[in-house]
Amino acid sequence: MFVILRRKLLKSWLMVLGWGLGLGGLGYLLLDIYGSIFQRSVDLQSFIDAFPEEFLAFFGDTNSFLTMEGFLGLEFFSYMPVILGILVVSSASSLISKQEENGSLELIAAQPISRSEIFWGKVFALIISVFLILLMTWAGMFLAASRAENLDLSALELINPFISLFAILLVFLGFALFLAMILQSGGSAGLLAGFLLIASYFITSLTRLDEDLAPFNRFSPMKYYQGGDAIKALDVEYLLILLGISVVFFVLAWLFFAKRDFRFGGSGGIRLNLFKKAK
Amino acid sequence: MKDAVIEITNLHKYYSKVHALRGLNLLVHLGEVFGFLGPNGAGKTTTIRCMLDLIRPNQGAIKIFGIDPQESPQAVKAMIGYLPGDLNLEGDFTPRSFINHIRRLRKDNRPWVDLLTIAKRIELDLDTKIKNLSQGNKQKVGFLQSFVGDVPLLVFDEPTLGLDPLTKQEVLNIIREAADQGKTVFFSSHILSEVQKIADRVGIIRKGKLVEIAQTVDLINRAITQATIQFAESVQEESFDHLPNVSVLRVNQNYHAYTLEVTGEMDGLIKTLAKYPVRDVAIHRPSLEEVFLKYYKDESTEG
Repeated sequence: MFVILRRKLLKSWLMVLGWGLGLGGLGYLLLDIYGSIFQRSVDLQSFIDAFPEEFLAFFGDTNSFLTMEGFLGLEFFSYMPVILGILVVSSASSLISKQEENGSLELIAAQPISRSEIFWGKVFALIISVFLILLMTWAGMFLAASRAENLDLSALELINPFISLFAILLVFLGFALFLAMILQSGGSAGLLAGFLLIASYFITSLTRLDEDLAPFNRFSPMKYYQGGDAIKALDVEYLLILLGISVVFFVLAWLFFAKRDFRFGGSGGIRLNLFKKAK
Repeated sequence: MKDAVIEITNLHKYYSKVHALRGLNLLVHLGEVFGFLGPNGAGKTTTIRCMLDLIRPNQGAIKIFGIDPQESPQAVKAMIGYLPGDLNLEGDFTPRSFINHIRRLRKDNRPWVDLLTIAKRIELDLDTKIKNLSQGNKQKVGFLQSFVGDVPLLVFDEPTLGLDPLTKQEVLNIIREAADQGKTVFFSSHILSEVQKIADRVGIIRKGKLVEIAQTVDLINRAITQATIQFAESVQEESFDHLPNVSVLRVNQNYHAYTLEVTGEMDGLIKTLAKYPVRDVAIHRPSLEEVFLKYYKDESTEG
């Protein structure tokens, strides 16, 4: 498994570095400007109040915008699941299926390693990559927080929203991986998982405006993502729900991969006939 | 069977509604070079992938060195060096780093000596990125990696695909030498002259079923041979009527020349010819290609 994991990590280091440095820089910048935003809190509050209530509700609790958790929640953690989610969904859906479809996995799978080694080697490499991106982002924010004079934010408090973010990303990683195992191509898996990621985001956001959506929201993974609120306290129950869902998807994906035929050239799998004309 | 390396019994494989393998039976013995022939879509690659547990048959049994690939895939794959027909290598490797990757996967810590010898013989540059190599050179990388681990069974799916004639010859020599050193070789090919050159036995697969399996030489001998005989004087056409396996194809009365088709043994014909003054005899033995085409001509007649 370690040969596969090592290989995948070596292939991904540039992507990890790019995303990690980019988001770390963004995090640093956000906390760096928080001080000046805090000083103009009165002006900003009247500016925020000028927006329609519905618009503000979409982004969460904007009354707390001028607090650290509200600011980071709105400016960073509210949309990060979508940004990083798209990265994770596209990476997970092509993690194994891309090599299967282009045939390069055939030679590797013919070596004396188990399917589980191939699967978990690649999956752990992707999880580690996501973890490293988040770690670098956290490091950027923490660096800015430790340099700021009037910022009372510990490393542990700052790590909480990242734990929640990591958990929601694992859910979509597992889900995209599972779809890639059962659908005919990684492309259709990525498309469907990406659609459900965006749908989940909108359902949870719109539920703040329309309570009638609450029954649907229960099934939306985004409901259990805390974002900036986790700075105050991490909801362990929500965290465990997210981790539990992701474990279910990982295990299902693994079982399908272990049992099914390799799809060299895209053969096999469940066909998505949504866009095909009936004969 | 004691010296059986590959034993396939009643193998069936469906891809959705396509019945790719229809009760395939096959036995490959220790130390032989076995040529697996068939046109595209006949089931050659499917058979090989089932042997490696890359895909699973719907029915039937496979044993490689007595082990079921579905029960112990790693044990089976540890004994097989494999070159896929649809070879696709990751471009960011160099041949050297790719071979090292395969060696790590196989936990093979032995020195490179044998592999370097093969690389030299097939003129493979080990240090150029694979993405910058030609198709033929990529094929060389694929061929070379199949020797990692000094495995007892080599499985090649179209081993000479995209190679230049000189390298093709060298690859065939290496395969033959591997068999001489006791390795078993199972390979599929479209290039029948190559199969004829190195295969001890040949199996012909058609629509997922093995339609013929025989020693390469026997298969050719068993087929129809054309003999052109020129006599010193006129000979009656009826002189050959009593020979059951001989039929007259053409007669050139001006030159007293007969073109005959002989199926199987030539003994009866030779004894008959001894009664007449023969000026010249030319015998044309069919190539494996002609034998192979005969099977497929039969198929199109049936179909």
